[in-house]
Amino acid sequence: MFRKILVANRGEIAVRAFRAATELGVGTVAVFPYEDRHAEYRLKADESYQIGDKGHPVRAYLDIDGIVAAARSAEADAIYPGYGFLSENPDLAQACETAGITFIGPRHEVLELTGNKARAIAAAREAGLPTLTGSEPSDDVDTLLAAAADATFPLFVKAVSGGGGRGMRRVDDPAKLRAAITEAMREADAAFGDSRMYLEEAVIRPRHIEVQVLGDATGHVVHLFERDCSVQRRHQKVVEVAPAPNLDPDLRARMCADAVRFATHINYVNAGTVEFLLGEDGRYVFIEMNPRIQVEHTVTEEVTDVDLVSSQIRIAAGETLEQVGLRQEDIHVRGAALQCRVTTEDPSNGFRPDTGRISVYRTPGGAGVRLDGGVVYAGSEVGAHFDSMLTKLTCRGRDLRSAARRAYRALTEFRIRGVSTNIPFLEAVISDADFLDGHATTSFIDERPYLLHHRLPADRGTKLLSYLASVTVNKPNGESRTTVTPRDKLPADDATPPPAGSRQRLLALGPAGFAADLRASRAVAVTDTTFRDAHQSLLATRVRTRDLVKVAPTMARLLPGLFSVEAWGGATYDVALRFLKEDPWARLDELHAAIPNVPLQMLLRGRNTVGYTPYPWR
Amino acid sequence: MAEAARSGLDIFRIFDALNNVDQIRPAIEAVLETDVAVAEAALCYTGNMTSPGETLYTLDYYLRLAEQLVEAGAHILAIKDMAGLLRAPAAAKLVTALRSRFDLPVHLHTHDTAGGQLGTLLSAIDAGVDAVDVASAAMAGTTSQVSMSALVAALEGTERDTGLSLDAVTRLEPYFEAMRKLYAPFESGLPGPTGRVYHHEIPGGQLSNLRQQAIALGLGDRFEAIEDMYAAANRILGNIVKVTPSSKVVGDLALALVGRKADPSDFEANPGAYDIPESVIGFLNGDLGDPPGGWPEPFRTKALQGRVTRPVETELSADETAALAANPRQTLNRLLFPGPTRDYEEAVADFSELTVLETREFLHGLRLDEEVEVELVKGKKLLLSVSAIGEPDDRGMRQVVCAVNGQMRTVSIRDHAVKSTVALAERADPSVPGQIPAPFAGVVTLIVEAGDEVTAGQQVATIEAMKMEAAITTSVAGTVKRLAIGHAQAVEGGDLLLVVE
Repeated sequence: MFRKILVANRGEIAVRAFRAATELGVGTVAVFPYEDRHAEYRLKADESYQIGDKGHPVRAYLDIDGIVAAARSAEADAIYPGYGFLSENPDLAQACETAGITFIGPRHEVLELTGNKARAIAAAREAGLPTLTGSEPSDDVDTLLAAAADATFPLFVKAVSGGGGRGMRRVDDPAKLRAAITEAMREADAAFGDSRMYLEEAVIRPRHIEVQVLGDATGHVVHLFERDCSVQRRHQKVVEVAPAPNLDPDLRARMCADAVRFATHINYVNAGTVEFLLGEDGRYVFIEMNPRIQVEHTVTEEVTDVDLVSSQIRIAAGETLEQVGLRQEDIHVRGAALQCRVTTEDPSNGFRPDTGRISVYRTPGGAGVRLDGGVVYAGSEVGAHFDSMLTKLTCRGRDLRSAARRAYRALTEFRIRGVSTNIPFLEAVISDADFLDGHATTSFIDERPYLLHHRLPADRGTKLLSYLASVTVNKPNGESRTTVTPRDKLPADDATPPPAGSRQRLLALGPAGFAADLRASRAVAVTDTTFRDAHQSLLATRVRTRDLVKVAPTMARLLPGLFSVEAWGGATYDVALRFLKEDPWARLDELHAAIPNVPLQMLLRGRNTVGYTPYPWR
Repeated sequence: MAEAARSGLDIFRIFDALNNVDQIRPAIEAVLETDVAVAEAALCYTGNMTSPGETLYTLDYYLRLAEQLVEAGAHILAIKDMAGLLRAPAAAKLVTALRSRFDLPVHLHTHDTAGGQLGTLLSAIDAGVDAVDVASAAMAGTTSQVSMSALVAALEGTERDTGLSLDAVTRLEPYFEAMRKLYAPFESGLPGPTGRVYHHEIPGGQLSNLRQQAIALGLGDRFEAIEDMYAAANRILGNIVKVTPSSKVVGDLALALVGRKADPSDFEANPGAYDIPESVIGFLNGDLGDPPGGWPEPFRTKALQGRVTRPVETELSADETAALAANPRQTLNRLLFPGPTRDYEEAVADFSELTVLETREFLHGLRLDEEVEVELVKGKKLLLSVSAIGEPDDRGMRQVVCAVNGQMRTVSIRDHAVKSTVALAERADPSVPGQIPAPFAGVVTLIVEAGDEVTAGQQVATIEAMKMEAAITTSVAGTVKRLAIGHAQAVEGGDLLLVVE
């Protein structure tokens, strides 16, 4: 076994690797660029070292020489690449080999094969797997356009070195092909330094099914069944489940066997994922192999009880599958698991990744809930440099429905403030009936635009706090000059319903009868203006509804004989909006409910009601 | 009005600032249409009816006015004495005349500015007035109404006893007294009654405002100057009825003239040589209707000479009509007060409903280490406190250490008293299509140079944020006038990137 593993990655996958290594009794080393010095994962390792130059954090994680040098100086004897960054780069595997450090992953020759999609598809054909038709790769736009002359649309433009949806475009309209190729090339060139593209037949409304495999150095390969990652947005996975729901057992067996056959064919060692598209007609095709751990490996771990990262380390250290305890016949699926990627992407804003300081970060827990995090905490800053994932929530259950119910509960337990998150969107996705019935395809989100228009969290605590903090700092009305609380001055109250009053007389007599009754009565009728003109004339109309509603029920009980309570109109309407930040209509509703026995009266300008300028006539 | 009646308003007191019944009639009709609400039509009282020198606002004038209001279908007649000018003998005379001429009940409203209006109320009551306006004693007197307890006590045991319990009325006073203390920052500062009102005729509601404005002009100790100018402005404008919004016209003119230390007679002779407030031009243009005493000529013609006057009415659009039907309250807010409604809606978006806060916290915030309870809804209470306020940074931001339900939280607050020393990024003006903004926060790389020709729809920059890369295009064709940022720079959404002309 290794003495010390350096993880050439950041965030949750770095923490995941540290945990596995620690359980195996292996020391851990983190590397981080200046910009990540406050990230939590750094503290989860036994040692951590800063790499790269300030201002270029991504470059630091992509700097093979720098990382190998860091491993050497930390005396690490293995490097764990995680996903993304250098995880699929054969040059790192090669550099490790040269430096005498173990790369925890497949050999660099295998990475070269899987990293070249055209070669990978050719290998899959050799192994007897069904594949898609496509063009030869090229970095010339016109060559690709010519190749598309007799292709059927829709098709995909894909970067030879692409991944994670980058450098990939779906094209439905031949007229838009050139623009899509150009754009994808630029993106791929920037991201991978390789602008070569190929075209590929598109399967419509497919499911994305992938099979997890593990291979050892003796040529043995096992599969750990499949995951269904159909819920995607722009080819980025959103929610992943294991096992794939409603998958015919025969089909499952064939796909898993194909995955093992492919891995065996290319002498695959360590953990990898063979990805398939499964059409509505039950036909499936190989699309690619991911030669690394995947973000969604958690769901496989939850249903098979196999620790994939630990297995990766042990295999890299030379153990066989047998020694790791992984015989195919002993690997079973139990229950179901579901993973949600909690990100700062704001679905109602085009999934724009939000940035800012996290003010509140509370996470769920309890039975069947697993969190893989390690970057953020309350007070940390989410910058624009990296992936917007905050944490992964994985929930287990007897079946997909119970796992989803648990995940929904866990999502509602999150309290993340300071940045937008996709949590309300995830809640909508995993409570969708089709999703729960196992009918999600890769078009699931595109076909349900309403999923993006969920209710935003009210977040009243944060909002009220920022108001109060602002008033506390700025003191727009100076210091408070009284400590008296009006409520304490209310007469002892019996809280009985108010007795019938003059409003009941109005309801009984009607407006004309009510006026005639007033004229006939000897008693002087009394209108109370305290709720309107009195405070308009003394306190610039600033009395808030809250302070009126507090006393209103007592008034209704003590003075049912009032002719009316003047409570609305005049300046109350605009002052409510302008200064009190109240809806004047809410004031009317609340007072009406609190004083059901005395007529409410308002002051109205004939020309412009409660306004000051002329308004359009109806 | 229909929406207000639906929401539980029962009595509508309707008036016009120039006592123009044509302006009141549609409102009375709207109330009658509801079939459940009471239309109380008000004649605004001004001047001094019982003085031999009063030639405009005479008993005849009010009776003619009342006749039209009765014909318009009012259920109740109101005397709206907004400045508190109605003296006891005049009240008796006016109430007697109105009640003998018409079958409608009469409702009297006055302000106690000079301090003697209980006398006016009692005189009107002797003359048979049917209803009067008063306020809880703690909220009564001076620019407000007469004290309710004084009135109830005065009539107790008489044949015109109000039927209200004096004990009940006074039991509510401590609450209102304590409530009034909460709003001390908004007190008008009028320490007691003022007889000057008989001279300047400023309505109660406006008097407190004008005093604040006088302080802002540095005339806090010379309020008489404003009072005198108000009286002069009223005379120049034709001795009009002064109540919102006509009172604002007179007040605006008075403040403008005091502000430039003008001689009112010179202004009256040469209004063309002065800047005249917009509200005054609007009034002279007839936006509020015709004044009872006619237009002051030749002043009016001279004042309007060469001034741009706006059309006063627009049509309600089809969209607005539809919105009124679908969502009457919000649409009414927006139509009546577009600016304040926007402010209100923004406040709710930023701060949620602030009505849940107690007034002390709403006005003054929190005292350090004092925990306050905020009940959001029944059974859901937030406990909030502030424990420390940090020093401002160079953008004037202070870190405020708070606690929510006992959990510490830091919020960043702009201190408006501290000047920011950081240059702000240039923002794109959304109304100018040639100003290309960053669509969201990220790192922008410009791919054009100043002087380049660009076509509409052409890509001019790339923005990268996290894993996304997107093209930024120009919606207008032209020449790149200038670049507002470096070639590759981190920006916020809405920052100006470049200008195409």
